[in-house]
Amino acid sequence: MQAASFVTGFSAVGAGLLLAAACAFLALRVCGIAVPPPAPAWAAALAIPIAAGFVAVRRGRLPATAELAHLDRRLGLEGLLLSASEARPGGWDAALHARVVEAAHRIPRVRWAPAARRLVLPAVLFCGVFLLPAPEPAPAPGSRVVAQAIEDLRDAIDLARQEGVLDERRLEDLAQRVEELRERAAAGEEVAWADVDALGERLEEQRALQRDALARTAHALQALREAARTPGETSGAGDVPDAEAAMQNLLQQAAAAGLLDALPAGLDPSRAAKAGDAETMEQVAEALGKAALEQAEALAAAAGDVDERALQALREALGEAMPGAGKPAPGEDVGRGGVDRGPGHARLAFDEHFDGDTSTLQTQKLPPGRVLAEDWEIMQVRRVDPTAAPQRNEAPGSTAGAGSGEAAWRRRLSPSHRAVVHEFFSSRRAAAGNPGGGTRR
Amino acid sequence: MSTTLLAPDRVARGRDLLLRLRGALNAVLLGQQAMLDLVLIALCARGHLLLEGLPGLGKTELVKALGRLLALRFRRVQFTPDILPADITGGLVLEEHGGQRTFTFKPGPIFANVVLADEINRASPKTQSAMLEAMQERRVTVFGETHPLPEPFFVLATQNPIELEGTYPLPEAQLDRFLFKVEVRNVPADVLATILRERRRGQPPELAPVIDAGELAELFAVVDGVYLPEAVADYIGRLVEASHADSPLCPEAARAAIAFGASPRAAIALAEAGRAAALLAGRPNVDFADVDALAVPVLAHRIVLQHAARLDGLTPARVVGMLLDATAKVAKPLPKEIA
Repeated sequence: MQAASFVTGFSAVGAGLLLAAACAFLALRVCGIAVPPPAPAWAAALAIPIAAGFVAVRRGRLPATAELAHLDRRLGLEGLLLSASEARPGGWDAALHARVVEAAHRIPRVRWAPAARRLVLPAVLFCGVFLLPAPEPAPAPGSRVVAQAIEDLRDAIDLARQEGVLDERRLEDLAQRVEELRERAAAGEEVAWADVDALGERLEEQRALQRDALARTAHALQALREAARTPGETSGAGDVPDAEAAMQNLLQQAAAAGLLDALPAGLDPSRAAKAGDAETMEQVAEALGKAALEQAEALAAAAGDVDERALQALREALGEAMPGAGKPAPGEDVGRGGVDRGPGHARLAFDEHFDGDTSTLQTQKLPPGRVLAEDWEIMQVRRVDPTAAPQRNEAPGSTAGAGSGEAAWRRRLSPSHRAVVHEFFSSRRAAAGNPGGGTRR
Repeated sequence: MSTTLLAPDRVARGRDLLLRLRGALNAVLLGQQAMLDLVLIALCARGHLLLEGLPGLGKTELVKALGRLLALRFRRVQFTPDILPADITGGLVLEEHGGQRTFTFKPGPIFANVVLADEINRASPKTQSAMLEAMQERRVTVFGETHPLPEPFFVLATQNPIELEGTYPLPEAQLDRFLFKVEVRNVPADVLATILRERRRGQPPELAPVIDAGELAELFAVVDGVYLPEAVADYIGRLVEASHADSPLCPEAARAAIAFGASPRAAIALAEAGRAAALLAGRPNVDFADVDALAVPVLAHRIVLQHAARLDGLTPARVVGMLLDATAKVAKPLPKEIA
């Protein structure tokens, strides 16, 4: 009896505990949180169902009368044992004794199967939760942003490679570092923003160096143009003619900017400068200027900020040295944008009052758009109820229905009751159920 | 432990008397074993019986046979709408003795041991109420003078479930005074064939008394000695309490159907009938099974159902079945994990 009570309490609370734990772990798993692996310390939770078992034993203790009643029923004594416990058995003593002796063979046994069945399903559910595959660690919100920044940096390096403006060896080194950061981020490791920023700054530094080199090349081209305008004058620094010195300077700056590869094959700029070959020098200046302009425009487009002054200086220098150069061919300016060109294919149209000096233009933020016309005025803002026009339901049988009581009849009686009343008053039943021929009261 | 269970030989003697009576009744009314057992139990419990059934099923023959077999005084009253209370209880009659006129009480047909109230629902409520005092208190009061009824006093009333014109349904107070309400059912074809072979013109066999007055008193004494265990009494109490819709013991399925539950008189009737049933089974004590077997005939006519429940086809017998299902034999059950 006590064992059965204990098993009852233990299995009920144990099943509830297992079910609750399974649901909790499942909820954690659904939320993407890894379920902790089973540990020996979890056995301490057994204390709860064991305590519940003891509580059930305490609560399930039956009074003596109830125990006797149960035993009487189990022995099939038909109340004799109960009566003998309250009154003297008299002549029934022998018969009672003979049956009570059998009680030893009919002592109730604990039924383990129901308790086990009660525990099986929660236990299976509980174990099943641990069989679920571990969730992939979700990247922290911060790391996702870092990964995106790394991807952007990688794209920028690829773009720079395609343009071929920056130093290939350094770009290769940058790309390798970026790839390392990317692999660390994909593995779930924490990537410091400082590392990403440092690589980005290195890329920007390369661009700035290249811009400086191109600017110096532009100055050298300008100096070459000046030298070409005043043939025979000396710089005052030595006997070297200005053109030759300017050409040498141009070649140095072009070499620093990596522009010498753009020179046509067979053209020897150093020899032309020494020989004072004006035609060759012009060809060299034209080729270098054109290459510098292309690189400057590519750099400006990649960086997103256009240094118009530097570009203009390059164009001017190139235009002096090479009439027609420095202006983009029709169609080449598509998508470049700028002050005198709109974004994409749109071209800004300037009227006759514009003198062509774009440096005088200023960026101006436009006012936000308005829904109301300017001559409109808001008089009042308040809350109002929506307009409603309810219609009374006056169909037969409805609350508002009017008629000869038919509506109330239909409403008050359920169909089954209506059928009974109908049958009671019908002539068919009267004929069938009243063989005496009498009428009902 | 002041009382002693009935000795086995006394139980056997009482059961033998009952079986003798049952055997004789079986010879009169064929194929109605269950109903005859209820009649015997009602007789032993000294309760009154209401028989309901179609005409021709042998209700009147049963009561007549019972009177003959017990060697008791038997009277039959055919209730009609114009019958008066004095026609049943008797009244004062002016008589002249020796030149002096005096009122003399002339007892009515109710002054008998076994009274057959045939078609009791045809009498007016005034006449029906005249039966109340007689049935419950076993005495009659006429013109302020109380006359005790003979012992034993046993009313067997019949009523016809059809031909309801000109009838007055028995009030709840009078229904409560009947120990059992028994439905007399039709007999099967084989029993009918036996009746046709053995009974000419439907005449029952000649009957001789099987129990005399002394034996009947002995039988009643044995029935009174049958022990009612505390657990069974507790079960009866919980069962009757569960028949009230406002009781927490009332099952939800029956709560909406019950208008009025059974009275404490029903619990007493169930216990007394249980004693008689135990003796019929040869036991010195009442068992839970006796209560279960008698719950429907004792409680069904005492439970008043809601109008909607009756229209839904629910019967009091089904409601009593719900109460039996919902009431545990022992107030505190065993754990489920016990084989």
